[in-house]
Amino acid sequence: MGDTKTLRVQNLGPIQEAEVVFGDLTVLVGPQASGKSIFMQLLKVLLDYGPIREEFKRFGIDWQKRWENFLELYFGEGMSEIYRESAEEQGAESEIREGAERPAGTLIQWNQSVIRLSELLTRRIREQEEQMFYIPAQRVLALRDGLTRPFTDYRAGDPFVVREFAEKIHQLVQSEFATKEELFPQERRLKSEYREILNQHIFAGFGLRTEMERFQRRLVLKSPTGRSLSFLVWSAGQREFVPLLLGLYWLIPPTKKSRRGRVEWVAIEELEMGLHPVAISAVMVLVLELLHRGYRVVLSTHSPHILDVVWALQIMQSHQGRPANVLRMFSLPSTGPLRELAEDALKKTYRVYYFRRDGKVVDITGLNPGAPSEDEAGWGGLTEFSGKVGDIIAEVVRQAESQEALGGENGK
Amino acid sequence: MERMESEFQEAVNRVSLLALANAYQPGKQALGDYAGKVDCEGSKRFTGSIDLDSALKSSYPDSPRWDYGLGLQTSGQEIAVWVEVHPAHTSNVREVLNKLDWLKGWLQSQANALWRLTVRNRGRRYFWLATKGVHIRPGTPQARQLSRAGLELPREWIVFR
Repeated sequence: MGDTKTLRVQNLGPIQEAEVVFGDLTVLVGPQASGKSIFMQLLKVLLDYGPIREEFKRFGIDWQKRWENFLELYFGEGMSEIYRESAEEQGAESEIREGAERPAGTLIQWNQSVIRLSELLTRRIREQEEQMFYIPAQRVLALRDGLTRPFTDYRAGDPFVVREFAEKIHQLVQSEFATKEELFPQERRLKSEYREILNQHIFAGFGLRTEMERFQRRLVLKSPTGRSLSFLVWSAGQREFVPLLLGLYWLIPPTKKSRRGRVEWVAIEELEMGLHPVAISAVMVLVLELLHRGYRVVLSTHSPHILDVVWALQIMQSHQGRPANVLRMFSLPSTGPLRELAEDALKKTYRVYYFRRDGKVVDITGLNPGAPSEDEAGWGGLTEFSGKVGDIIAEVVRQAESQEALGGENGK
Repeated sequence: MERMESEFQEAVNRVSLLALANAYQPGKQALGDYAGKVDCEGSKRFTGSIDLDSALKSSYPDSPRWDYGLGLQTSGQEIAVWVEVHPAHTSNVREVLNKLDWLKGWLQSQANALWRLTVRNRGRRYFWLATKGVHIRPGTPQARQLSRAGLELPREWIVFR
């Protein structure tokens, strides 16, 4: 993807200071409640304030021209405090100059422009179509007993991204797939190689179908012997993955078009949820497909497995790695379309940021296990524990060696 | 007045191999170009070094020889530590573990005084100095193999604190 996009944030919820330069794929890591999700939702509202406002309007939701109400509606109940009003009043360019004293309020800088959220609520809407598709961590809530849930099925205090994702899935299943019983595998959805790996690692031979129930389509898994399995007996990973798969169906049109509508950005929270590491690799292949189609993808994760992929791709880039290496990493066959995908993956830019508990957001893109910075070497805490375990085991082994060699002569 | 030999120098001199007769070098000089990647802080100081790989090349031409040994004066005692300079990819783990096995075997059978200086140190004693970056991460099976052998992950710099 061409131009550089940068989002700089100060004092937003738990985030004290963040400057994120987006790559084609940007991965955010960090402990719970460190601001990753808030940051991604902020990006969404900066890109899509028009369609978001229109969507609230469509469902008759009024924030009474108060931006605090909008924040409660958008980020969810109790979240208006993450944004501090004083910055609304003071938010001048001069405040974020290097070396300037940190202002008390929230500051948001998108590329070169300082943005006030209140201004986004009154600004003339130029863009009606959304630019970012958001797959939230709570995606499993998009289904209830296998039934999709429309926007209005949620409380006003539920985060917009959850309601909007559920609405899209609802439209997809109840309208786009209204005449089809079979959702997975499906001839015209996803490359056959992807269907094969998803079948192998996630669906294990089961098919995803819809059955009519009181004028609505209900999702079921069909066993190879033809038996229907209802939502609650699916594995945890299948329950988590199916909404993600439907989100990918939304993004990957069955036609020759590479992207859907004007969507350029995809945010996926905790891609790995409920999945075995082998299944995570399979889903990462689909992320590469999104990149191949020209989407810019932002992921949040607690999985070192995802960082393994980013690390490997970067090393391949710097060491003249070849598409065959990428395919081998994912155990994929060397077919024409997959070679193209792999070749493209080696041309993309990757960025990784660590949302630290102290509110600082650190660039750990290098992911160098030998880096002097603990933040980078420990992959934002994701490999820190393994490193500590390794150090302790090495110490125990050395002590035993000394004990054996010296016996009791050196005391304990 | 003649300067007293360090324990490390004395232990090197006690190895009954002609090849090691002139191997001892003061400070960390034996590490040559890699000396800048190894340092010590505070009251610690290097008491000498040997280029084991070069010194033993003719005696053990086909063995997986370890690279360097260093004497290190710590508070209270002098110890020996061992540094292997090697690329640090997961595919190199087996080679380095073979070298470590060889080193331990050689110390125990041929250089007992050096072995005793090594094992009297209950802390870190074997170090893998990475050339061209570290490409092994914690939590991998290869990292666990290293831990199991008493060796930690490779580093790009080694500082004795």
